[in-house]
Amino acid sequence: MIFECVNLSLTFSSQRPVEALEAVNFSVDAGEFVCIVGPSGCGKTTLVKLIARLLTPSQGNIHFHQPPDNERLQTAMVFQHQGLFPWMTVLENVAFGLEVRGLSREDRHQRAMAFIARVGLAEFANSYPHQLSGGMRQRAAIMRAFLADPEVLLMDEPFASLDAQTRIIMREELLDTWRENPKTVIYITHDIEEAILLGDRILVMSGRPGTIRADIAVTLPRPRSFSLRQLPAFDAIHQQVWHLIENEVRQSLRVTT
Amino acid sequence: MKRLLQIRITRHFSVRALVFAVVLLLVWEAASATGFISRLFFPPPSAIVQTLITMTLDGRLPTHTAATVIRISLGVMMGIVPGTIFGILMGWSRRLREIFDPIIAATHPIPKIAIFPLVLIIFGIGELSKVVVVAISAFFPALINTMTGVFQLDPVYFEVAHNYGAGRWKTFTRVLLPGSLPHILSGTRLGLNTGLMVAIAVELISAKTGLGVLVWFSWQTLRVEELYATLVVVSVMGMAINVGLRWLFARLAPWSNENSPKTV
Ligand SMILES: Nc1ncnc2c1ncn2[C@@H]1O[C@H](COP(=O)(O)OP(=O)(O)O)[C@@H](O)[C@H]1O
Ligand SMILES: [Mg+2]
Repeated sequence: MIFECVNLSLTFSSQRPVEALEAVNFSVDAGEFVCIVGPSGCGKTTLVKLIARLLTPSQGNIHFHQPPDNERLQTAMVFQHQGLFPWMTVLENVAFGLEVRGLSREDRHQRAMAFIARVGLAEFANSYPHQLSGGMRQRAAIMRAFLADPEVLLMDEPFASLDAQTRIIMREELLDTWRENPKTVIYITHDIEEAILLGDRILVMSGRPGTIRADIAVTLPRPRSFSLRQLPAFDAIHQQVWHLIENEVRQSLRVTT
Repeated sequence: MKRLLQIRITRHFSVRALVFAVVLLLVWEAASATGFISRLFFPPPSAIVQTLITMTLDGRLPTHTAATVIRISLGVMMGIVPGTIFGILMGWSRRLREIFDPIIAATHPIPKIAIFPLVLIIFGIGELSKVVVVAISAFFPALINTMTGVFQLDPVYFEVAHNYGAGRWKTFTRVLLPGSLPHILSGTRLGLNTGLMVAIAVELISAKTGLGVLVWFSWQTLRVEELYATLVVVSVMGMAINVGLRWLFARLAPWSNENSPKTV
């Protein structure tokens, strides 16, 4: 086990208190790729921000197996939007984790360059994020997180704002990178297909307040690709997850309209 | 590609605008030479150029221009540096913002030239008073723009920095400063322009040197050509400030060239 969430709850104390999460419990093993699915607004972002310690829980705890030390980041997060600093080049952005750690300029740029080249961004190394497409930006953000080599990689719907075709390619690329750099990953998505394709496990969340409804193992063989969708097992899991969140989605629609 | 290129050219320099300016000058020249408009109020451009040359050669323009430039440089430096620093602090700290916002909201709208008498009482009738008024007028735009730049910075950037383990100093130098740089620079530009305006105004009221003095003096002696010649210098100075800053901006913040039309 690499970390676990115990009775994690968070109520935002805005003018009108919002119970975002209540009693979230799960543990994650080293090297696992865990996908968390749930309808929009159910507290997924809140959950990963808690794990990243960008938020403090109102109740409960997150226990990491290894105590925090200065040499290694516990988490590195890939944000849905605006993850890259607009004022840094792609190279500087990808090397940011190493810069914070105090590596020399030459050293960190050399290592960042290797990662950048592998996803075909070499010729954009000295470009600024606004000169890149959305897909390329997310690639760079993911490379930054992998290069920082945290204990746990957190990804909050990293492909949600990309078009469907790009998303397919990006998923397969992510799986390739992950295979070459094995790492514990928590991957947030609202896309059930994506969760099945990527994850070893799917945690299904229900909303308001958010909590874990189900923990489903995905035992499909790896390496996986887009064609996985044709397997009957894929359909079975899809059905199972959809069945769990269908009501949630209906309810949230009813509330908002 | 071709369209992009065109946009880029017209944004900085347009042939049409140049042609229009030349035509306007020619019409003016002709109208003034033929007596269609009064030579006394609208001397022909050729005469203004002539006067520019004479005033440069007899040393009046260089002397007075230098006086104004020094006044603006000193004043603007004294205003923009603290304005920017204070703007960063206020953008950074909500508490400081809450304390100082009302004071700034109350003092900012006062035309700075209107507090010149007060400054005269405090700092005396010397060079210092003039510089101080220029400083005060440059202080506000620098402060307000910088503050806006800092506190409008998307919090996600601070989250990223924190997530990657960046400390306070790293966050300041790699996130806060560059992130608000476009606003800081536009504060500097506004500060300089306001400083120029106020410097000339102060010179009109009370000074022995400076372009404002030249303007006033040529009015009193009804040397209209000299009045125009001086205004040409003021205008060129203003343009030089803006062109120079645009250049500096492109150098310091190349990433925001495309997406911040506010800064042109
Ligand atoms: N800073 C905040 N203050 C108050 N409420 C918030 C804040 N952030 C999120 N929320 C609320 O918490 C709930 C969960 O949000 P979020 O974690 O972003 O959901 P998701 O990522 O699953 O779409 C939502 O109802 C949202 O409005
Ligand atoms: Mg979210």
